[in-house]
Amino acid sequence: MRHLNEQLFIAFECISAIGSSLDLKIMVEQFQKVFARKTGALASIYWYYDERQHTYTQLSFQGKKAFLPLFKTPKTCIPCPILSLDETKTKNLLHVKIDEDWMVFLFHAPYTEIELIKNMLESFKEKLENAVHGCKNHSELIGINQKLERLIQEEVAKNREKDQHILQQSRLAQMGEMISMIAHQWRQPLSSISTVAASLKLKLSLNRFDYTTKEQEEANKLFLQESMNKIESYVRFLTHTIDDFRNFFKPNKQKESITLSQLVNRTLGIIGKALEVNGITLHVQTNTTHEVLTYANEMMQVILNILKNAEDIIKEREVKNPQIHITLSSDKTWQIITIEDNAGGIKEEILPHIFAPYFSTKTDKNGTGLGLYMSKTIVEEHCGGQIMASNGAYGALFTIKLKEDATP
Amino acid sequence: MFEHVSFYKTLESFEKSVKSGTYLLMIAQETLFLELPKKEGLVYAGAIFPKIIFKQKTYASGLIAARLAKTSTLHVMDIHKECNPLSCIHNSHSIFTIVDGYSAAIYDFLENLYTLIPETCKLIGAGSGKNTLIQELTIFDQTRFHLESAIVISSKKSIGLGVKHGWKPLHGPLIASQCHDTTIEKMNYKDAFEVYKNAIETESTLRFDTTPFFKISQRYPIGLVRYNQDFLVREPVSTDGKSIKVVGKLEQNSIVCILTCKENELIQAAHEAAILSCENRENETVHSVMVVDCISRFLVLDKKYSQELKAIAKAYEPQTLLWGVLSVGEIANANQEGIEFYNNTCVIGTL
Repeated sequence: MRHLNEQLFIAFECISAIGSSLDLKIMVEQFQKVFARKTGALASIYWYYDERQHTYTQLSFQGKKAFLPLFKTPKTCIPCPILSLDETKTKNLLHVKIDEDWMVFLFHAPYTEIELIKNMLESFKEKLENAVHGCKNHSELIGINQKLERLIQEEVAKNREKDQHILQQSRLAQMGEMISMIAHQWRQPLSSISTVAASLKLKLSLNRFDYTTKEQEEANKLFLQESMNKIESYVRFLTHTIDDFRNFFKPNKQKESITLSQLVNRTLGIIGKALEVNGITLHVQTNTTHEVLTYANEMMQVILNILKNAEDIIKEREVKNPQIHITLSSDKTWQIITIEDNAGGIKEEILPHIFAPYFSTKTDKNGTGLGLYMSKTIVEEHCGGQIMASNGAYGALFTIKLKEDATP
Repeated sequence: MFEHVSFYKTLESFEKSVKSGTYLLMIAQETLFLELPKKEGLVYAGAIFPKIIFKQKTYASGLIAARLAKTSTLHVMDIHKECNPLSCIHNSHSIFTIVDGYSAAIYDFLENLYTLIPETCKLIGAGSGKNTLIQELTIFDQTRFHLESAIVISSKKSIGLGVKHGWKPLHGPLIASQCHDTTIEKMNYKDAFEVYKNAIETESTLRFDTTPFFKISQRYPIGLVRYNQDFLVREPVSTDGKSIKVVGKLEQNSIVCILTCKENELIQAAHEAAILSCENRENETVHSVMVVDCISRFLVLDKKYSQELKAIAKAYEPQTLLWGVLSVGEIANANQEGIEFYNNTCVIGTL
């Protein structure tokens, strides 16, 4: 009875040691240690079967290294005998096949006792096999996860590279647009300078500058003075315009206090003429004079982006009597800019996606799909505000909300 | 392993009388020990133990100096490092080791040492330290004291080895259902201390409310059940009212028993260990007998402890020198399965 009880206890302890870890080596070592200690095994080894190479490798060994030579590497073609004698014919080797692997124990004990131990081991062999499977599956899953992680990292790196490329393209496109806007802004003053210069040239070629009398001399001086003043005034305008553009591109890391009206006016200083050339009428209604503390250049970029989109869609849809209404207002919490065009609005199905990166409807016009995404990032993450899009009565309606101290 | 073994009352007397050579020193914890002896040609390593044994007497003060035979080698090493540099042990037939008895790394060290020793090599050893349950610097050589260290002496001469304890089950078997290193948190899924207390208070007149824990735990150690072998004894050292801390690691779900003893059975076990050791020696002549006995056995047997030493001596010729230590843990590879770190056990080496 005592013998049976002992067997039960040993079996319980050995079964408890099965599946103690999901790492095959740790789990097997723990089992070997407990089993050897409890049954008096002198040493034990675990041969792991490598399915690719069709060979056995030693996963773990417990016991005196002096016993290691007694364990012979299993051969794939010849199954190991369950019980066999070692080379010295004094010790017994007990082989247990676990899946395709082999676990071998070395005993120096009577045959009947080893037979009992063998039977005990057979009784929980299935559990051991399941645990070994579990460990192998876990290891495989870790491998797959690591591979996936590596693939994700590679894809993320590729995407980053793509982002850089697109941003570069976007910047080039933006600069192209800017050049177009500069051209619009400069066309009138350049033409005026040209007119003044032409009239001076004509007068000179026709010998209209008469210096015979004092009065005529004075009149010529006055004419020349006025012409020079006009040219100077136009050049000042051109200089002012180019400063505006240069400032717009200058990175501005400092917040500044600015009214919504100033923000809109500075933006219109850049795009206003282009809108005018395209026959778009601008209506600006100012209901607030509060200042907001924000990154002015970045907010101008947002307003400019919405106005440019409005201009593009108005041109695309050939809207008659095109108009853009800009309203500046405030409530208890926010300073609000609304921009609404009359181009018919955004399709309901695409409305939820317009702030997503790489989302563009301008497939034929080099749309990067980053303009509104970057606008949302600037307003919400950098300036602590909100930006929303909806459809108004006549067209797309964009609402930008900023706090007076726009701390994100 | 050793050429000559002598007892000295003080370290000064040892220093005066020895000239040169390599020595193992075993010092009783009450010995005045201010500085390490320095002498040209004198090489030694040693350790402090609760008591030492010399010629069937125990001493709380004094030291034993054992001069190493020329075929023996001595090493002091950090037990956290691999034993691989000990190339000498590959050809040895016997090993004597002293390990810091309060170190948590004992098991890893012994496991590592076991993998390296030859098939037929026998090992005997002791856990060093004072009987205070506090880890102190107790291992030294002629240069300095070493913490978390071990002394390994290997010899080409074989020894006889016997291990017995004499403890019997009082209550159990129980499942140590929750364990963490050296702490048993649950037994049979209940708080370990509750199970331990109920078992002892039911079977004896001792009460934990009125008697210090260690006074009871010395008499009622925990035994690990092993197939076809005797219990492996683990001594409880403290409790927090729920769990029990023992000397030595326990695997979760180990089957254990609460043990008890009769004094005459402890003495008989020591005698049996001596007979076993004497019988399995390979040499005809017996140089001396090394006793590594647990200090708890001394405390349990109290005045009767001298009978345990007499019982050991009875297994040998009357003039045979009996020497050794009362230790904090006993070490031996009584079988081929591994080196065990015992508690409350008597380990006898026939040198």
